[in-house]
Amino acid sequence: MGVILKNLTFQHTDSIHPIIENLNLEIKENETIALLGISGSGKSTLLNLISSFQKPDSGSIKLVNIDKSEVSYIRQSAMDMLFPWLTVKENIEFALKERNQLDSGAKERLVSLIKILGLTEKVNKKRYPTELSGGEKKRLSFACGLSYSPKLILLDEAFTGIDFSLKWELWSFLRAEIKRTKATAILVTHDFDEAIFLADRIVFFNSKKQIDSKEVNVNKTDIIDIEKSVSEPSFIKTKGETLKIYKEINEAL
Amino acid sequence: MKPSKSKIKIFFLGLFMLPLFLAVLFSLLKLWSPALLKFPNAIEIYADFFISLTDNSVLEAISSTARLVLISSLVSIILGILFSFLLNLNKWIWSIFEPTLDFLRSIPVTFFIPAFAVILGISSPNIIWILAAIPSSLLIIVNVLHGIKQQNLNRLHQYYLISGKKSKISAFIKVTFFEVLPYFIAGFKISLSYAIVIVTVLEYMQMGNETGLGTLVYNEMEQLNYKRVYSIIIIVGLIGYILNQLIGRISQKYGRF
Repeated sequence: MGVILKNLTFQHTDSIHPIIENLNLEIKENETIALLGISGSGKSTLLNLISSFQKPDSGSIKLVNIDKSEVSYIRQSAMDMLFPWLTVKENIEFALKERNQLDSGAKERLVSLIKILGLTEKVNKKRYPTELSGGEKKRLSFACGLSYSPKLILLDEAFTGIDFSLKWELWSFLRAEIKRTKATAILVTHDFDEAIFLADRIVFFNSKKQIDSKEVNVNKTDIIDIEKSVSEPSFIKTKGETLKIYKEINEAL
Repeated sequence: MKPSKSKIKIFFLGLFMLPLFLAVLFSLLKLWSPALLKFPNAIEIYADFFISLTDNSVLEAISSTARLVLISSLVSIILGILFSFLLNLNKWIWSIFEPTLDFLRSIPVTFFIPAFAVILGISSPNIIWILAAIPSSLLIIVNVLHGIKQQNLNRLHQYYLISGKKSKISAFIKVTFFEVLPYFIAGFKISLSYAIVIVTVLEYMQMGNETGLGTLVYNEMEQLNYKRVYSIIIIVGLIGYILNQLIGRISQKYGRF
């Protein structure tokens, strides 16, 4: 098992009801799950709890075979992840430097990461994050979040607010990284395509607790081209099923 | 990033406008002042300004005032940073001291003179920089505390995650310090202007100092030497302008985020 959540309950101090109540969820090692649900259903709060940003009122979070230092959290707002006083290169190297792991091998890997994410020019020109466009900031936040090859990747609407081409580019990149590092990933999203393309399983959230869990059966290893994958019959079938469950949950509320 | 040509043009236009504006002001004062006072015209004032820059007594006064401003600024930086972080140790400490800080902030520094005069003696040479350091420190404290409160907690959490560390000290050095730096620089910029004003006013009041620009203005006024009085006022203004530009540059480099 990668992550085990048992009877997890959390209530915000200014709220009268718990946002997460007695949640039980198990995420297997190397598994990618997507959390789908309406806004305010507690999806992002769950990531905050798993990443230790907030503490649960009761229940437990167990990371199996994952050290707390191997967790990465990629947020919707890229600037929440970046240090504006450091250059693009310094931001990317920051995690490994802090961990004393910036050896020649790691440097080589970072160079290829920078190249894949199209940040070479910004690195060479010693740009700062505030001098980058929205898309470039997003790419940089992925580079920073994945620079230390985390074993658990948390993504909180990490692909929101970017154009389709960059979104697709980052989906492919993330999938390749997850496969390379054999990481476990939990992504919070409102985008069905994203959930189906990236996740092995979709977990639906309502405003109180997890309501249903759905397996996604898309043969990911064979699909590299997203345009091709979205027209695959299995993809279309899964999307239809996902939409049906999502609708049922919302109507039940 | 290099400033654009139009920005450079506006900067030099501003520099040209300043003496022009002062010349108009001096001329108007001469026009309306009683003939008995023999107010100088703008040309006489500017001529004296350049002469005063070679006058030993003026140079000595500049150095004395600058020294006091520098000491009070350094003390206020140390006290400001130290107290801000002590007050930020937990929310209770801040809540306990907040009324005292707000109370002290509202009191003009000159009201503290009797208290410090009793402790240090009215002729103590230290009384000026100590008095100037009080409001300057308070300004830095308020700004730094505001910066700490405004800091991005997601980013701080991000540091703990990606560094794999739990140390609050290393998080402070690597993240909080830089987050607060723009607020500190903004507080320091205002506190420096305060320090110049307070130091020259206290010098003018002939407190604990026989030299300094404030003392010189007082002495020259006693002798009805208005040309020199205006020259010294220009010098004080220029010192303030240069220091502001300096802090502005530092702020652009280190506090632009």
